Amino acid sequence: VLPIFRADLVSQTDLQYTQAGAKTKEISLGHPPGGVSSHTYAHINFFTKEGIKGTIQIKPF
Amino acid sequence: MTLDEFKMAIQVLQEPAASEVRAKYILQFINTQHEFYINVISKPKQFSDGICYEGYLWDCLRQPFTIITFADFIRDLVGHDQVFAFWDVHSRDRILVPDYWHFPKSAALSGPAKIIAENLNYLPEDTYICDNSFSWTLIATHEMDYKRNERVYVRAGETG
Repeated sequence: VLPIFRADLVSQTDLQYTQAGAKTKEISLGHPPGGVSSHTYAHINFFTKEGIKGTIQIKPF
Repeated sequence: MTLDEFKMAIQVLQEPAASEVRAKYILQFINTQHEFYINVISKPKQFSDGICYEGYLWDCLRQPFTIITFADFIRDLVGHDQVFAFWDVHSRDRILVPDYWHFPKSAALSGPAKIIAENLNYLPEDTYICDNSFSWTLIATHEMDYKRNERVYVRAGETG
């Protein structure tokens, strides 16, 4: 299962992060359509406490 | 190989050589007319650790390119002799991993392909590799291919 979670506010994701023990790897504005990445929205790339990479959409700020 | 051993086995290109490698690479492989390149990558900003850009060069890769497996990436890479390796000039304000960069952010490496291939763990996830022909490139990205359960790797140019 693709571990993409969607949230409207970073604060909500922060809560999920804390509870899940995730560590933020990077904050991205999003990638342009038609390229290598399908993450065309602002997002955070993170690692779960088990070391699995995931992406969570954030509200641009 | 330790990081110190790796550093001894390759050459760290400083200015102006590193910028020359990046400039030639961009000229050959990057679509600088891409809206994202014009509006994001080519407009670096001041961050807490210096002037950096956002986005990735591979966001604006010229067509055609091919998504390849890590095994193909390594096989192609070690088939070459001396290569350059460099990475996007990003800020620690955006990449929050402690001690992420083991080399200056604007530097480039020059060294044996086999050594580079065996020590990718010392390089940023998003790393660009080519040789002095600038006719092919292999790119490691941070993106995940969940079907393969590995990161996304890209080949462009004459390789393969």
